[in-house]
Amino acid sequence: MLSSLTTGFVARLRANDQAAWFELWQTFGPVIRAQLSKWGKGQIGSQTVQDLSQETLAALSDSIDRFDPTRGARFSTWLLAIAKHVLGDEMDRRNAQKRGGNRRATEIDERWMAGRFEGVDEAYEAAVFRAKVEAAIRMVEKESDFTDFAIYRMRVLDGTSGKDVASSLGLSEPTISRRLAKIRDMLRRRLSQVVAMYSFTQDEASEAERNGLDLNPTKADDALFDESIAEIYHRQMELRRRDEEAARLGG
Amino acid sequence: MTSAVGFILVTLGVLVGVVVAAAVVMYLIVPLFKAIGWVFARIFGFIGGEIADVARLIGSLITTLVFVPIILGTVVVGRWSASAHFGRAMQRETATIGGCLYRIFLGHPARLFGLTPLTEGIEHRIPEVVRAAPGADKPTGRTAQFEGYKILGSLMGGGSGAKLYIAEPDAIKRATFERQGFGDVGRVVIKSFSIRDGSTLPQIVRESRALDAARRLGFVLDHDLTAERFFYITRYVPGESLGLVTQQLHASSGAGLSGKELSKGMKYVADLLATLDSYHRGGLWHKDVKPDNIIVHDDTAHLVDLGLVTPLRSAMTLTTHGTEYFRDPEMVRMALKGAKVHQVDGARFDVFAVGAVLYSVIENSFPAHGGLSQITKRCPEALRWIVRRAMADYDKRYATAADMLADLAAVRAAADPFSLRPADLPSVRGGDSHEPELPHHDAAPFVDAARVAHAGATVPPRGDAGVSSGQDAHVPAGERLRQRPRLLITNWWRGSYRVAGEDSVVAKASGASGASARAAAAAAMSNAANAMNRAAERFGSPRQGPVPAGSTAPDRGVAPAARQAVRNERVRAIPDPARRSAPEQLRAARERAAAARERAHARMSGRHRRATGADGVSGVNAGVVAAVFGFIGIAVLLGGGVVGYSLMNSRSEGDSGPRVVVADPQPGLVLVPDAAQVSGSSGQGVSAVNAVARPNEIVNARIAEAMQTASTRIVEMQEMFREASELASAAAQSPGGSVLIVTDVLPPMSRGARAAIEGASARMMAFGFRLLGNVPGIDVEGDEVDRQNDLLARLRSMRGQIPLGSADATRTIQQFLASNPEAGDAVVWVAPGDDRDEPTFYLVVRGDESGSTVRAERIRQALRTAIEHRGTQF
Repeated sequence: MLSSLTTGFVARLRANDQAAWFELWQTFGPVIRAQLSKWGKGQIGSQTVQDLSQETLAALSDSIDRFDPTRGARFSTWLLAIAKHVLGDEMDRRNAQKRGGNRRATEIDERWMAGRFEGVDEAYEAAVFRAKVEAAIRMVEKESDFTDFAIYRMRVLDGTSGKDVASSLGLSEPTISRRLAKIRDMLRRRLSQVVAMYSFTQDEASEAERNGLDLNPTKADDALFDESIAEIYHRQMELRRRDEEAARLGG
Repeated sequence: MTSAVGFILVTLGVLVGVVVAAAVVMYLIVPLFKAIGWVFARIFGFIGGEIADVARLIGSLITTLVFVPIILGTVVVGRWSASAHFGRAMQRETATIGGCLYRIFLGHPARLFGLTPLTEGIEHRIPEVVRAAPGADKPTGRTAQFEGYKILGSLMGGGSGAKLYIAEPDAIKRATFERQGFGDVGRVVIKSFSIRDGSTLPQIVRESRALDAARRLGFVLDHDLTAERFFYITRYVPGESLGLVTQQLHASSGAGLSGKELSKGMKYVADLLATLDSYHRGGLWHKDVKPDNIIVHDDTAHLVDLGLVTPLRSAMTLTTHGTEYFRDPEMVRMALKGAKVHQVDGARFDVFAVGAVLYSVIENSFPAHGGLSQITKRCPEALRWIVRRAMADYDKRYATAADMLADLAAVRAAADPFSLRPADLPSVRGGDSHEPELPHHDAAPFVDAARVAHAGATVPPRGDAGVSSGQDAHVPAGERLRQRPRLLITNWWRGSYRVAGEDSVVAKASGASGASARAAAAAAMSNAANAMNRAAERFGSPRQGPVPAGSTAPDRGVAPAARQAVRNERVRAIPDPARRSAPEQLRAARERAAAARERAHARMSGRHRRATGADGVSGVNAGVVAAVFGFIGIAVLLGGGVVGYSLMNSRSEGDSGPRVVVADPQPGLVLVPDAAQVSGSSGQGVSAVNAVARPNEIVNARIAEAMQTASTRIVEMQEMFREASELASAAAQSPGGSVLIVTDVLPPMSRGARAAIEGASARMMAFGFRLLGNVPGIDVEGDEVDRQNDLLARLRSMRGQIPLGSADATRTIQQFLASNPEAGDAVVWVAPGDDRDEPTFYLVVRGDESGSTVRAERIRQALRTAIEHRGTQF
């Protein structure tokens, strides 16, 4: 069953809330582009990938009314099905298939709704999850105090020691620990919200725990949580760097 | 008991073994397999890439060959547009071929061996520089004519669809700029939007919107909007973009900036911040700050491109225009929500962009991750902090450019930037932020311009145009601008008032309030002052400069001495062209009219060219030229080849007579009667020489009949080149040595015989041989004469009457050489031939008889070549 956050978000998309679309684009755009590039296998250039990823979101807005949450499909599968449909459409256009002839126009494959969609692989699922974590980090960055987040970034994302962070900012180590904990808690809360917002199934919702991001942790889990966040953050950054580099050179 | 202990020990041993095995697998085998996989991935990547590129190359070559006849066909039938279209396609194919060749021979091999840094310059830096190269230097057409400006060249256009020209204003324009207070204007950049050139109306409207404000601030010199086009003019700043400069800094610095390079990078960003501070204080927001829009000249960064400049208090809806990576995502969100420009603080978006620029300077890359982008290169922690602070969330970043500049100035001022902690930055330390310097040398004029603009703008002027300090510095620019000025009336009767916190007293202009009224009043005052100056000059009073339009009207209550001081401060020399006498002005007007006629004529001819397809869009381009010249070249080569082949065939078929047959039955003895052609052997007998020279009349007649003189020359030239190359090769391989020349051709020699002998001698010397014996044209002196004569006498004595060329003669000469080491490595005996002009050369090389040694064989080859190539002179 969908959470209220998810239904709320889908409702915003259905209402054509531009900010919601932008959020979706910013969060999952790189993942879709990477997947389209993978499928394209060099047949489509980076600029076309950019265009297709935008078309994917446009197709999403068309298909969102037909979305049936009771059939057990994952959010990531939903995105992927639409991206695949858009890519197939592009390939058909290139191959100059006659519309209305012997072959029907490409129609969106709705098998994804039953969770039996081909083409979903582990790498893609992992990328979608990383995108969710990144969205949560961004939300925390936005709502937290600048210095607090800077401490978290230096300590966890950049891997600076607590002592160095304290010395650099002229604060005591206990203060650093306290502020770190504050951001960590905020991040856990935000992560639960983001995961709930972009998850359609229970399996997706429990993804965070499987990736070392226990949302209801004990004190001992903090180190593991920070470590997982740092790793996911660095992987996601590398994905984005490659993606943007390709887009820049192609453009 | 013992067995139990043994069992435990064995179990422990097994456990330890398993652990060790697991460790070995984890730490040795897995990395090993990874390494093997990596190597295989490289190799297969290389092979796959090579195959793909070779296939692509072949495909492009075929496509190019298909395009050539198509282009020629379209040129022949006069379809210029189509030919240009196909020409462009051929250009692209040629570029593809070049790219494939590069990857096949350099790119893929370099990647295979992990030499990617080797190709970075070719693959990244060169394309960027080429992309940034200016366009056509002399644009044509009506849209590229600008009254009062001479176009000198053009620049690469940006994403706005505008054309950029470098121009020089004429004397009248310069004088106009002087009068408007723009100071000395050198070259200018004209940014022109023309519907004919592909610009769209929204682009034109957007760009024209902010120009009035930018002109007040002195950033724009001139602008014009007509039905067809819109253009504006700014000062030209030569130099390179910050992106390129950053690449150069990193190339010379290695891993991360440090020392001088870091200092330079920080200075450029400080320049940028100072300029932006001027913008924000003048009520403008640049909106497109990025490395490509920052030009570095004389170690100073200049911000250019006013395409998106927007008044901070504009009532327009916020748009998402800008450049990705340097545009704050928050701005996009706000724009999507429909926010108005005056509801947001645009200065903060510029600050975000400066943070992104600083990131790009440090990282030599763009912030793909927005505010979360990680800085991986070596960099002072304080600088890292500044980047994060500038790119932080909208509400948390620096409120003003001046705040950021203060922090940056602290890093720049530090003896060792790497030891400076973020805690030491003014924004973190709080309270005692010192006033930063304004490093930009253009900042002063900007500030002056800002002051001028304030006088005529609705924005209340600030007391000092320098960088804000104290409490007010922390008030966001947008909020500052939204604050209403507090006016204190100083004289109700005269209508003068004072802005709270300002020292200057402003006169109320004819009861009207607002910028336009004050601007009009200021312009009127300026004109009046200029008129007064002119009048004063006419009547012999000291000359005074014009008052810039838009400047504040001096208050009547101010003391005359102060007014005079203000006026003196503004004195500027008006250039002579603006003050010429009436006849001179008339003459100048006629010249202008003539120039206008010429331009009109040029425009008409430009139209004609367009109509005939001679312009860049529909006319000849590089592809068409390449196709035509390629076709002509191939045709000439094929024609030459056919003619040459037929000529050679005709020679070989009809020239059985003049061919020389050489018999060479004996090793070491070569008979070379004529060097015209040598082929085959006659089989029997010794030294059977048949050198009947046949006159060339037949050949000449055939040549004359075929009218192929040119082709014959080509063939002859080829023959000469071939011979020359053979000679050069032989000379290179010649081992050198001594040769005894024996000449039986008695004087007086015929001219031909003498030339043949002297030529052969000269070539032998050129091949590194020392000549002994009686050689015509070479004089030998002293005892050497006697010694060589003695050698010749002994040789002649030994030979006796044995016929030259016979086996006995060869044997005898070999014996002579064996018994006389001083006789050299070979003997060349020159005997009279059947023809007086054609002597016969007999060659015997030492050691030939007993089986040819390598050296003897090389000497033999060299001497044979020297004798045979009679057509070549040294």
